[in-house]
Amino acid sequence: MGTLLQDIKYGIRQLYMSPCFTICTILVLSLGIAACTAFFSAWDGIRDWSLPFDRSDRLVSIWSKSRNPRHSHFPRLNCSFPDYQDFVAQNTVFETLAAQGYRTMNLTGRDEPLALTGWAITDNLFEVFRKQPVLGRSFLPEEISAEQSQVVILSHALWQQAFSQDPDILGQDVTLDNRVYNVVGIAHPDMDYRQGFSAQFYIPLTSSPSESRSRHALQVFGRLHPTVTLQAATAEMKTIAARLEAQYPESNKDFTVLLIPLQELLFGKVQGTVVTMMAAAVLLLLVASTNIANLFLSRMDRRSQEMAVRSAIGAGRWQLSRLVLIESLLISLVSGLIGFVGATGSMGLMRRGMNLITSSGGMAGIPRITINPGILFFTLGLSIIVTLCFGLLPAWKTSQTSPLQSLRTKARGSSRSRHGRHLAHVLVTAQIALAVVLLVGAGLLVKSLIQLRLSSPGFNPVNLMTLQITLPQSRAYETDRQRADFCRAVLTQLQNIPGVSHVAATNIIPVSDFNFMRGFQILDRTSQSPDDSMAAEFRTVSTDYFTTLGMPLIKGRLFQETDAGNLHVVIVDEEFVRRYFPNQDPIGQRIALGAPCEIIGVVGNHQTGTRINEQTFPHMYRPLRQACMERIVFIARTQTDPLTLAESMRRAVWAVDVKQPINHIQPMQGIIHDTRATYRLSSFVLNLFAGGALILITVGLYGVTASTITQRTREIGIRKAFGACHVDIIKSIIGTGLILTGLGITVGLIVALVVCRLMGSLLYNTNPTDPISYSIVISFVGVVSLLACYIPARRAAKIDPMAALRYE
Amino acid sequence: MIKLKNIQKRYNTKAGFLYVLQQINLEIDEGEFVTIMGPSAAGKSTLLNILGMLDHDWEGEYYLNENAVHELKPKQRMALNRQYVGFVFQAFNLLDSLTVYENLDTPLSYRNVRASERAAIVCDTLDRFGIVGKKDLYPNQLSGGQQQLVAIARAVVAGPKLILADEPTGNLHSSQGQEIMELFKKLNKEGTTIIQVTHNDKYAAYGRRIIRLKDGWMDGEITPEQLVGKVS
Ligand SMILES: Nc1ncnc2c1ncn2[C@@H]1O[C@H](COP(=O)(O)OP(=O)(O)OP(=O)(O)O)[C@@H](O)[C@H]1O
Ligand SMILES: [Mg+2]
Repeated sequence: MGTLLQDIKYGIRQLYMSPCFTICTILVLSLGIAACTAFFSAWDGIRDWSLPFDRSDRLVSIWSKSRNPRHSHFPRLNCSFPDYQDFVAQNTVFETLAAQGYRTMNLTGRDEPLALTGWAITDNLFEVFRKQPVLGRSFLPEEISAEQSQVVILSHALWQQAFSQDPDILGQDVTLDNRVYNVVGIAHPDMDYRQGFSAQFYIPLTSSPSESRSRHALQVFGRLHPTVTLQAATAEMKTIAARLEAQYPESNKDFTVLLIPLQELLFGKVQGTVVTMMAAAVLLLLVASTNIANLFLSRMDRRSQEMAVRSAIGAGRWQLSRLVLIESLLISLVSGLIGFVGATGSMGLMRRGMNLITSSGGMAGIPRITINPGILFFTLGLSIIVTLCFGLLPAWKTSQTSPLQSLRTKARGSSRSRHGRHLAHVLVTAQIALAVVLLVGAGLLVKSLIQLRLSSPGFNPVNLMTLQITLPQSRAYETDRQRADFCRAVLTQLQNIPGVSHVAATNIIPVSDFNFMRGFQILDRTSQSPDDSMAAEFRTVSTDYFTTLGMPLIKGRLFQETDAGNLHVVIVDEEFVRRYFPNQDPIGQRIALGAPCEIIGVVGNHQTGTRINEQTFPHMYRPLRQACMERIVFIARTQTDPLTLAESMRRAVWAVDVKQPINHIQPMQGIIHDTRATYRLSSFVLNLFAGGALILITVGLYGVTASTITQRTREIGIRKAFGACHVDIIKSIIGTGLILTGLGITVGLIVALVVCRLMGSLLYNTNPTDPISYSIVISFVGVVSLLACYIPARRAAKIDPMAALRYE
Repeated sequence: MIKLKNIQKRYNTKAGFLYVLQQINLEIDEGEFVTIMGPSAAGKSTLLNILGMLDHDWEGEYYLNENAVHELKPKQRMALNRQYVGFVFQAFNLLDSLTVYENLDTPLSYRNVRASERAAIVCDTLDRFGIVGKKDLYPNQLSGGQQQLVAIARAVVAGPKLILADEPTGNLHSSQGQEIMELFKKLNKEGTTIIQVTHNDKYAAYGRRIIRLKDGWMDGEITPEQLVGKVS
């Protein structure tokens, strides 16, 4: 016991006496442990995330998939109601198969009108998820088969928020879209499993025999039989789809089905981002490990000599190993402690970041990310093993050869064994190469971010305020005309707000993932047979829409108030012309969009979705007065900060209809900013890691150069004694460093060229081989390496030859 | 105690085999005080390293008290070393990170001496070498001569039966050198076998036998009287 304490004391002193090594090692190790623990805990939290349902691995979502190029930009489509019914009737692989359709309704008759989103569901939806209502009951089959069922199940969250958890809610009446519904149940809180898509209410999905097979509006979920595999289920469903295709060619031609496990459906969206980050974390760890190896190698020879002396005066193998063991335990435990504190400190950040990522994929309930003690102990154990191995190397070497050999090295004042130096050089090169890969990745993301910021969405988003509402399905807003009148009234109110210069209305907010693709035919085109592959994003807009957003008119004219007449007019964008009227003048051409419409103008393209690298979609715009839907977005261009006008804009809506709830009010720049949040996060993380890697390679190169110099002190002294000047010595030392750097950069660039190609989908307007990013990285690494070599080299040049020679 | 038969040591260099020791036949009894002399590069240190079992790479037979060293594995050789040998290196080889006191303590700790006894032995040795005042200093805070003293103290601290000293007085002032020799003489009287390498005739004369080496060959053996006579 006494000797153990003594050994610990010696170990501490030994570390204290080589502060550079100790601090560097502990710094690198704790950084590695912190990053590893934080990121893999987060990864674990996300990966371990599972839906809160019984046997959720059996839950599958069923989608329509089209082979028609017209739908090529939709990876999958919802199912149609008749198809769903056929699936139910013909399949043998699902225990239950349920469907839900998106609905929006306005809750009125209470303090403030609320815009609600919800699902119209089949009676067995809760059965699929095995989550029966916590209060009341599920829908009855007869409520589904009836033509009209005025019953509603409220979501648990809505019940809490809007009804203060009223225990007597069952049997009460609520007013939705001006109709009275009877509350029959409160859904299980776990049904809100999908962030951003959770329902606030459920109503029966009443079947109507006239439903079209072309209306893909239902989400279908099923629970597989316990013994059926996904492959088997997919095969059977495809057979059914093929049968339907043959049976109903006019609607089902080119349609098949796609089965995606629910878990994967939610997780798949975030995978790319998460995997990129994890890859970056692993790269950083690799850089850190090579660094540790190098630090240990740098004092390998001194250690070998010490071990040899100890062995010569009687130390046994175990006694030598014990020294190393204690030392590596000391280093690892201190690093582990610092790493743990670091990881704990970053957990809050981690949670926020991961939440941002996962909510973009609609996964709810992620904040369960905590430090996983298993991972902490694993990384700690790993660092103990690594330090132990490198520490034991000299001890092992001593026991392999006679102690004499190691002693000789010292007695001759020769430098470190050639073998060791080669290994150190290889490690430094590898480290620089890894860092270059990380830096290039980070650089490309930064370039993309800059490009994104410089990019125009196709309109001027500065000082634009948006306000979204959904009109209720009530008699007051039954026709296009009525809805258009409401719009016009609100627009007049908005126009009167001081500080507002232009106002407009449309059905879909300019930047959103809400697609509304509509097919059309080109009329008067004799040469071509009818082609059903023509489609474009459809928007209805008020007269001032393009002026308000600042979208340029390329050709023809914009809408005028007089377009409200019978003549059907349409404005298209440049992409539309490029695709469907190449080398032709589109003005005056007519397309069939329900009714025949004449193209009167061409405007500039604009960004449609929120995704970074979305293709440009063709758009067609119709006047709002001719086709106005329930969903309305008001857009106001303001002369001041748009946020200051939020309240007056709300009041403008209520001035027209005091019962109309407001879904969302946000400045346009905020919307665009939000869509880039995950992107900024991954760029931030990658840059953080790249910065860490840069520090590590600096430490690594510095360490290797410095230790070479320590070993060459005598040699340098002699050279100086024989007349070498500062520059000669600095040159000879920097030379090696630069060769290693050059080698590392070359290898790193080659790897980066391959690896960064995989990042293609994360880049915006940036080539994975972007020469500017690459040259910046090269010069950056070059300068840093030069510095890392120059500082110790200058010190070497100042060596006093007499002192150096007296050393021996 | 020691019996060497046809010991041979060679290095494999680019220019071919370099024989550093050849046909060394030597017997040393327990309690002897032997000096090895010879010009530089004669192979003195090499021979001493073989005797101390620090070098494993040689040919011939080496018996140490019935132990056939040439048949032992490296690990067993080191165990023998621990049991018999106290070594003074030509280049001191003190442990830089340990104080003088701790440097003396390490050989004892490797021989599983109890802590209480260790303190007494170390203090006694410090006292004997007159370095009590330096006990808390580190090697790099000592002069070359002081380092040599510590290196010798470390060799004797564990009470070895065989002391191998490679130029133990090289860096010492002549009076200090004399003291060391007297100390060796005293230890030798108490029964310790001592083999030393030296270039100094006066110190060489402390040995009862003087073995001469030249170019790796045994170059005869003389008595101290002969040496003195030759000098005068
Ligand atoms: N690793 C080696 N490779 C080749 N030759 C070696 C090696 N080590 C030692 N020698 C040679 O062995 C010979 C004997 O060396 P040794 O150190 O035994 O001499 P020495 O008699 O102790 O000399 P000094 O009095 O100068 O200490 C020398 O010629 C030396 O060059
Ligand atoms: Mg010698």
